[in-house]
Amino acid sequence: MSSDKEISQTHCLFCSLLCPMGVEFHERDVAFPFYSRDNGRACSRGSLSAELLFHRDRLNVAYIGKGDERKPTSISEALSYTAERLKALGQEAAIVVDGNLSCEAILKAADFAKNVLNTENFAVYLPPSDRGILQGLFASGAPLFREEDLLDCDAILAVGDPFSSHPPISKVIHDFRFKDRANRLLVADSHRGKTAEFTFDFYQLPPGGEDAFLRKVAEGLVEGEDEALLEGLPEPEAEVSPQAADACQEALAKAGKVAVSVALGWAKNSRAEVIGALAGIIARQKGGVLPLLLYGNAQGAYRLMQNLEVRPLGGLLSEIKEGKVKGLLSVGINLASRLPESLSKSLEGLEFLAQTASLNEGTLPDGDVVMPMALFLEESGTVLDGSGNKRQIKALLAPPKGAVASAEIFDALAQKLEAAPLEAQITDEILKPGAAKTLEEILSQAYQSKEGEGPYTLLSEPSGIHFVEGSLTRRLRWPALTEATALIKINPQDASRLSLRAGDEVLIRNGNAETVLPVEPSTRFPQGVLGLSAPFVQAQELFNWWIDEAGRIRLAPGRVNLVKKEG
Amino acid sequence: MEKVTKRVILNLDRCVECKSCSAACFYGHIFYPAVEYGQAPAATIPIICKQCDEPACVETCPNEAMKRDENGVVWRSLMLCTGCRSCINACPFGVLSSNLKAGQVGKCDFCKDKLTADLVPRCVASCPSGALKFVDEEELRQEGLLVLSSNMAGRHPVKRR
Repeated sequence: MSSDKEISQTHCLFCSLLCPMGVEFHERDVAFPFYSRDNGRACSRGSLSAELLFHRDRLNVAYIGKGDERKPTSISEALSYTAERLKALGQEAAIVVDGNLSCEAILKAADFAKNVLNTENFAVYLPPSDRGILQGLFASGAPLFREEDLLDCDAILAVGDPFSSHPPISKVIHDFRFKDRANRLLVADSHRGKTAEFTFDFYQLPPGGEDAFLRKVAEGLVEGEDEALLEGLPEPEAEVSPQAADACQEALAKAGKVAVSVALGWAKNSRAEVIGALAGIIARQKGGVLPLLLYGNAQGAYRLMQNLEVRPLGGLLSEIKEGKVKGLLSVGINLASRLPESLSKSLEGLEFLAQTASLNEGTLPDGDVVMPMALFLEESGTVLDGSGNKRQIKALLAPPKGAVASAEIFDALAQKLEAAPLEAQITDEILKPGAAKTLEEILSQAYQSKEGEGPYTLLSEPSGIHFVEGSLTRRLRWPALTEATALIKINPQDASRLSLRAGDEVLIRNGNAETVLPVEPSTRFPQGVLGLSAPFVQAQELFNWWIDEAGRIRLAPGRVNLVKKEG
Repeated sequence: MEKVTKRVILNLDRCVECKSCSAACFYGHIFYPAVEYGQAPAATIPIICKQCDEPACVETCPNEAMKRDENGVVWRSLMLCTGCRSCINACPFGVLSSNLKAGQVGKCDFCKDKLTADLVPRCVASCPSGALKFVDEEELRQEGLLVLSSNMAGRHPVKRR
């Protein structure tokens, strides 16, 4: 290797696998992120990070004011103004942070809210599926497997499509397949995804049928207390094929050691905690679970949420709507793009809103203050992977001049308010795994589901290219070249009935939104089910979102109408 | 750098169509990607230059933009390519895309900078599923893989499972 190159190691934060990531520098300029372990592991999202870091629209100036009155200012000025406004609002102020920030940043945010602003209004955003899976898993007490543990198993039950949502997991699953011909890869999913292509044991589920399927499998497998637990529970909503459940049950019963991997992705099933709990019940008999989560630090954020007893975000949004909370500082997340308008609209009623952003115009969030923030290769901290292993991420680059790391935002705000330095001590106690509810509570809970309209169920296909709803990744050149637009995948028989051919445009709508997209007939989807090939902000409204009684945000597949767009 | 005898081989049993190879190529070659895709009925698979011993693209290029260097790597000179598409028409394997990038033909050069540093091409280094390998055919046979064509391999010639 030539002397002008330097390799620095950290971890990718684009999913819970936290792949080791190296960044190659050429005379202080980053050249390309690459992954050195196992001669590979740079999924396309990892490769995108170089463009993201050096994007021409990186925000390096703060703004104060809304709309036409928005004026550029220094970060120091923006922080002073924010500190002053938040202090004035006191207990009526709230802090929301993204769950993909480091544990230190989340801890500092919590400390700032509690001890500087004296408010209980602190929430952490985690994708609903990540939060639910972890809640169910911790309640079950099932062992969490690491990737390498899959190689010691005789059967893997993959719920969802991990090869699409978490491509790096495919290597160890392929190694498992080729290690022994008797090894069984079982896939249960509501559409025939990429993972399903590699097995004869694919179980087609109805949309939202993951929990019903796992319940049927568990009922025939478990004994003793678990069997008693499952008896007398209310019948699940979805009807799954008893033959499929029996076949899966039989394969798992024959296997010596079993791994269950759960990859629910986006808008697949609103009962993620039930799925996590049932996966745990099945796995704890003779194996473990590998949760495949959307957020890199989902597990770290979840544990902090439990141990710090933070408020659910949905509840906070409801209080904003009711006018009980008047000011908000949101760090690391643009709630207006992450949530549908039906939930984020309440932010318009705030007296004061400060947000952070990493890219300039186009995605710049609304707010009285917008502050430029560092991206993940520009911040250090502690994160936990999906299996609960602690990893240190390193700041390999300085953020653009004027932008600050998330933890530094809270440090600076505390300093401006002349408060004591913020605490961010990562201890075993603060990161201990905890169950918010018992298994019985989770499994017996009645789930209020939101009825949508329209004859088609809309699922979001897992994406290995875009991160969450894609507002950042859609700004980049390779995704724009590879996936210029999202497609609607439709069963060929449905397409034929509607006289649709590949490339025809269709209008998809429900009570909340409508959008026009090209269609692609695909046998991967059963009749009556549509697949949205890639996430985008405007499509958020097409899915079913609501805030449940406990104040948690829930997300389910959408019900939509579809008509051919003429002309 | 020694003469390159290895080739980029795709193991069909492992490719999960994640397109990571394409992203790695795109960002490694400053937006002149050379990894293209072929649409087979059940899969979308990357098609990567075979680095022919007697490359038709080099023969046909009117501007001598396509070259085969002393190590056997066929590459395209950024300065000389006029985007005339002669090489695209000449390639018997269809690995050169007809979509020009900034008026030029995207061409795999095996990531010469990586090979010089004794590393593997970016598409191989990034492949998360282990489907792309930088090996010679003998190594594949030792692994029990059938070589289906000059850069495709698998355990089963038809089905991936």
